[in-house]
Amino acid sequence: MSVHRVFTIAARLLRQLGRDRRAIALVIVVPIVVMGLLAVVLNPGDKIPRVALRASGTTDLFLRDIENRIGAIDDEDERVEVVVLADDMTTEQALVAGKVDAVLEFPPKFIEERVSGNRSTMIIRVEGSDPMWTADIGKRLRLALPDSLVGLPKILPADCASHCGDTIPDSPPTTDVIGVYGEQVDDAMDFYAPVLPPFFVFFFVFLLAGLTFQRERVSGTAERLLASPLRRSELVAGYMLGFLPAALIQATITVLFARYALGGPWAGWEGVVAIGLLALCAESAGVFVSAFARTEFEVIQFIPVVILSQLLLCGVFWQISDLPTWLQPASRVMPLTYAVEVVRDCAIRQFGWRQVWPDLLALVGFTVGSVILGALSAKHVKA
Amino acid sequence: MTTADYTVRDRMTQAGCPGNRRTGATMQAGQSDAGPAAVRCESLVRSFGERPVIDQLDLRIEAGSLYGLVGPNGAGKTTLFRLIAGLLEPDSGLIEVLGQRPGSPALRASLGYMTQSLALYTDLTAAENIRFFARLYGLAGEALRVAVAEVLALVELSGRSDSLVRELSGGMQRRVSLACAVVHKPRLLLLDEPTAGVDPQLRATFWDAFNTWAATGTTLIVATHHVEEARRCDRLGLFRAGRHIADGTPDALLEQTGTNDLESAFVSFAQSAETDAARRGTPRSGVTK
Repeated sequence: MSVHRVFTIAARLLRQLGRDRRAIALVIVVPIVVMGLLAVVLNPGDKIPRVALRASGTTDLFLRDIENRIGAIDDEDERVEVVVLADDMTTEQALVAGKVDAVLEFPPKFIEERVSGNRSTMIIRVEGSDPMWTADIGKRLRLALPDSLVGLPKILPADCASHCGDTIPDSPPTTDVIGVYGEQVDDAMDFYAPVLPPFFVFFFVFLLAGLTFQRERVSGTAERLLASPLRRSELVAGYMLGFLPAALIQATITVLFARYALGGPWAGWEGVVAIGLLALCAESAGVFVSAFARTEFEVIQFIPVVILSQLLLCGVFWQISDLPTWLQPASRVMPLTYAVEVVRDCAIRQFGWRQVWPDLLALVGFTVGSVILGALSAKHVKA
Repeated sequence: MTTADYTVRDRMTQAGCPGNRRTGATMQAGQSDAGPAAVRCESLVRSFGERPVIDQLDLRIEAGSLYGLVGPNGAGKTTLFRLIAGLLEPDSGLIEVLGQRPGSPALRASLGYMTQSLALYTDLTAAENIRFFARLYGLAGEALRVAVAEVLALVELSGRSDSLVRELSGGMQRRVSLACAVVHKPRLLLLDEPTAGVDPQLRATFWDAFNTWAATGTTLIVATHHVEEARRCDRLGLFRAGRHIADGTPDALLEQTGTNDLESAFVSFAQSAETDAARRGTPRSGVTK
């Protein structure tokens, strides 16, 4: 393989890319616009959730105090409307009937755990059929509760010695939101924002590489290239190299945009590396598909197979473990699955290199495999 | 029929030998001379589906000659170029180019190919296109700079070298395409319809260049369906529907058919081929003219 020829192809692609405003827009502007639009669409708006408080093993005084504190919050992002449920209505009935949007439950041993200094947990019960609304309720209560609970009057057991009140922590208890995601998820956009960059990078790099490679054939340059000393493997390698900077720039920009413009959690450099590897897979996939397509339209026809199937099965919309058993292996042979896992693990679960290396290794495997596949498929490139 | 048959047959054709039959594919001859061949085909067959596009082709093109492939669209000219360039594999028969198997890396370095389509990157400048293809042939540094400048001057585009190809006229684009094919000074130059869409003045300039290159030892094979401009070739091969129906110098072809122009000569050869085929019970498809 001639490095000189590989670099010649890569340099030409970069020069063409630099002059193609639409391609630049496709790589950088379009993902940002689409992600911004999604952020708007996924924002639940100004609806104020109605919340009831329920507890067992605590006094009414305690509940009324918290109700007053939560009800007094006027911050737009934290505001909830506190409603009182009739005693004969169960929590489930109230939620299903739409009497309330959430019920904040204090478990029986909430006070005891708090007094003893152990982790005390509140439960936020929601109806749960609308994940975005559920996430918004969870976000508001998470923001509202710490402020409300810090400085609660210390409720001391009757047998508590005078000094035992000193051991009661001032820090707020944790909350479990039933049906809502991890602790880093403040709203639905936070859940989706980290997984958008891998998807967009795969989609746009696949399109760009596939169509550019196809254009070689349509314009007749493929015929000229293949009649030259250039080997097919050098052509594919040149494409890899040529699109890599664009893919990395796109990966970095979309990850930074998701973090800073959309306010989502930071996917970390582990995420950027995962997306970079994914971009190489996308390039190979584009070249592979292009080798078997006769026209640009035929490249487009591969999108449902290559892109949509991965989007549906990669775990963005539902957990892979929730898929039918026979379908789960399919998601495991798709590179997007691993990139999404890395990005989500790092962004939401705060994982680092030590935890995500198996997924990164899988992505390296996919990259090597797809590059070989791309080079082999280049044999089918007809002039 | 062997390659040798063709060499002698060509001599006979050139001499206007009365023993020659006018259907080239059935011409027979004796022994060969041993001159170097740039392209040698024996019983070459290439089909697309059931349709043979190159049908039992025997052909020998001498090194250093300017050879014209003449025939209507669908005659098999471009397919033959692709076989010579190694872009297509033959179904059967033999093809040898500059003594090597088509498609070998060493051979491709010696080949220049101007395709029928422009085959240029229209979002790059003329000079960038030429430089790109030159680099693929291993040119670099000063040698690259000199070669690009020379070829730009040759196609009279030195003043427009920094213009994007898409901003150039059709004729200028053809010139850039030609420049890309010759920048590395190939030993064998394949030119597929190089003058299509080119104005008469530029066409004459092109043919002057072709003759000059042939005179300096480059083998040129020029495909054209402009029969009259092919008169400037050293030799012509007339093709129709995948068949090689005649071969010879332009003058010899005129003499054989008793016509005054090559177009009439081509029609005459085509009719003879049709008659021969009908006699054999294998009617050929395709247009006569």
